[in-house]
Amino acid sequence: MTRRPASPNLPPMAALKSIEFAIDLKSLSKVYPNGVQALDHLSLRVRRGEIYGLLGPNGAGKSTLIKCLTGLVHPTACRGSVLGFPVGDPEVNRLLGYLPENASWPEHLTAEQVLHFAGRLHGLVSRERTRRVRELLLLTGLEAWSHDRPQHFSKGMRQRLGVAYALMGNPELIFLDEPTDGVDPVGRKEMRDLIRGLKREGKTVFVNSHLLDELEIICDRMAILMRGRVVRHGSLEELTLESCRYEIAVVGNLLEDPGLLDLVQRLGGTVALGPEALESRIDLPTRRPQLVQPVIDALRQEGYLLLSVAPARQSLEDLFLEAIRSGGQFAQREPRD
Amino acid sequence: MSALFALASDTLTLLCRRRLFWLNIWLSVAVVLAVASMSCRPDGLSFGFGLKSWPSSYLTKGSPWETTLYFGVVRRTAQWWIVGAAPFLALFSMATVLPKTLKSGQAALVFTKSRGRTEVLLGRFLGGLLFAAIPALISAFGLFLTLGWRLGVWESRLFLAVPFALLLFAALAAVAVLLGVLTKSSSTALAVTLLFAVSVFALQDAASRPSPSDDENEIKGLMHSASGGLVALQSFAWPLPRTQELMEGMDRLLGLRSPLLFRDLVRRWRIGKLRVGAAATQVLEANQDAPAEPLTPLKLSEAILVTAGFSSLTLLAAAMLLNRRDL
Ligand SMILES: Nc1ncnc2c1ncn2[C@@H]1O[C@H](COP(=O)(O)OP(=O)(O)O)[C@@H](O)[C@H]1O
Ligand SMILES: [Mg+2]
Repeated sequence: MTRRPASPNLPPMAALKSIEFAIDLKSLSKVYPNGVQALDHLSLRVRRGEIYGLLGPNGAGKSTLIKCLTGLVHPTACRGSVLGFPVGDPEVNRLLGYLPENASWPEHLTAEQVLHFAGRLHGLVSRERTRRVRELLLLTGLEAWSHDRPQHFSKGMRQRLGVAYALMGNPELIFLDEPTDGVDPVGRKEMRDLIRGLKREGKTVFVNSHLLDELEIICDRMAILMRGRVVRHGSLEELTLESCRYEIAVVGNLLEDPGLLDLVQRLGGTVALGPEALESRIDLPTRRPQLVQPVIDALRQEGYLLLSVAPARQSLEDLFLEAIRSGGQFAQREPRD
Repeated sequence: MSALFALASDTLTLLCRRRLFWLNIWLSVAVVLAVASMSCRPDGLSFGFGLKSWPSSYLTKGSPWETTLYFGVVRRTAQWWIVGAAPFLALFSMATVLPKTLKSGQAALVFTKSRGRTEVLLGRFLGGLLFAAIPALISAFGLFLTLGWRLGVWESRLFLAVPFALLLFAALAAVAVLLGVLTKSSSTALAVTLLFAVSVFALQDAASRPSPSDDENEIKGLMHSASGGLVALQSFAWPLPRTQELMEGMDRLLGLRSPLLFRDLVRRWRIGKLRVGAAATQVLEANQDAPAEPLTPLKLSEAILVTAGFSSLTLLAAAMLLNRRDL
């Protein structure tokens, strides 16, 4: 493997403190030998200490991205760094934890032995290793099964073992590839708590998922990946704010009021009728309250009874589906940070 | 360094949990027991700790033929079993190691925790060597005890068979590793390595023959008689593992010089009126005869260096290939 110029010779922690972005990708492309372009000039920035979610349908390239960042897959072209190291530098491995998508555990080891193996790979001495293994078994709730073989574990237990394995070397940046896929609701909740705990310890967590609600709940910021490109990114707030609308509910059938209908349509909004045409709902595509006032004034003038005026956010799910529908045709914006 | 050790010991554990490992161990024990069960009595030879005896007028307790018999059998056991056959058995386990490690679910776990892929490759390889050393050590120790018990000769040089066995095993294991990286398939890696090993043994055997003898098979005779055929064969076989010379060299280093010729002992062997021994020596002659050029220390060192070099280069190629590919 071609070693890039030596990593900074500072003590790791001191060097790390000065890094703002745990992951700073300017452009990353991967074309597999079979011609599949899994990642296409992808750019992405993950701040230190945040939980970052990568959302995308199956085959979007989420796992490929993590594999590139952990050095398992060689990018076709890459500008960027992970914790200050060039992408693919094996030196960074000791600072990373990785829960793979489909971990297959060695058949000859028990859960505890698997963790000891990880500890030895990290160069932990026996005493320290034993302490750390016990700590992680406790953290992931696997103490009772420490002498069982992981093949007999449930999916949720295997995922938790995977997290323990990933955390063995006390990594700074943790990649979790579909941590809750195939896990029952209780297991999901436990996994979420575990991830939040990592954030409290100051770790950076990068989560891949095709499960929207998971990311919605735990992530500080997220990106939507489509066909190897980031089509949207930001905090949940930012992502959904971009698509904020105002909804006004009134008593009466506005479709029979040409004047008001005309005003709404000039503002780019729509009118929909409620059940039995007793109520109407006006939908205005704006997030500025000033633009809503003329409509409210007009409604009051005509004597309509206003039921509610409220900003309505598009859910992440809507946003995601919209992204999928448009087939990743959004232009990729530069990271704003 | 500790990671390399962790990988090696994990590989050893992994291999030792296989049923094949026990087959290897039990075979080693059986071979040693078979040798140890032979004994000379005042009235002849007995096998199976006295289960079956062969009356003999010359092969009796304390006779020079007794020493000849033991030395001959132990030497050949060290040569053919420890160095020749046992590494083949270990190979069956070894060939599966790399392909398994490269399966994506495992690769993700192991490779992301190491400082580099070469480290994983070397760790797995070293673990395989340790694994192959176990039956070799058991056999060598068994033969050592046998000689001491039966003849009062404590020949610690018998343990030299272990490094020789490992040298040969390393060459075959390196090929298995390379093929494992190349194909990711245990069965392909194993099959091709076995094919390679058999061809190398045959090739080196042919290359070490000084001249075609009449009773040899046609093909070899033709190869030799073709002008420069032997030279071509020898230069082709030069960089390959020196199976023949290593087995031969180990035998010489053992230094078990018997008072009489083992060959003569075998030749005398009869079952009833059948002169089995004479027939057997005819067949085995070719393998037993010293080559035209005696194996000098220089030639043996060359054989060791070439074999070690072959292993290193093969491993290097495997490491380069592994570093290039996506996991
Ligand atoms: N080893 C591989 N060889 C060839 N194509 C691959 C390989 N791994 C993934 N791909 C392809 O790359 C694309 C992205 O895959 P992946 O990263 O696994 O997506 P995700 O994790 O988002 O579901 C898919 O089209 C997939 O078929
Ligand atoms: Mg995936």
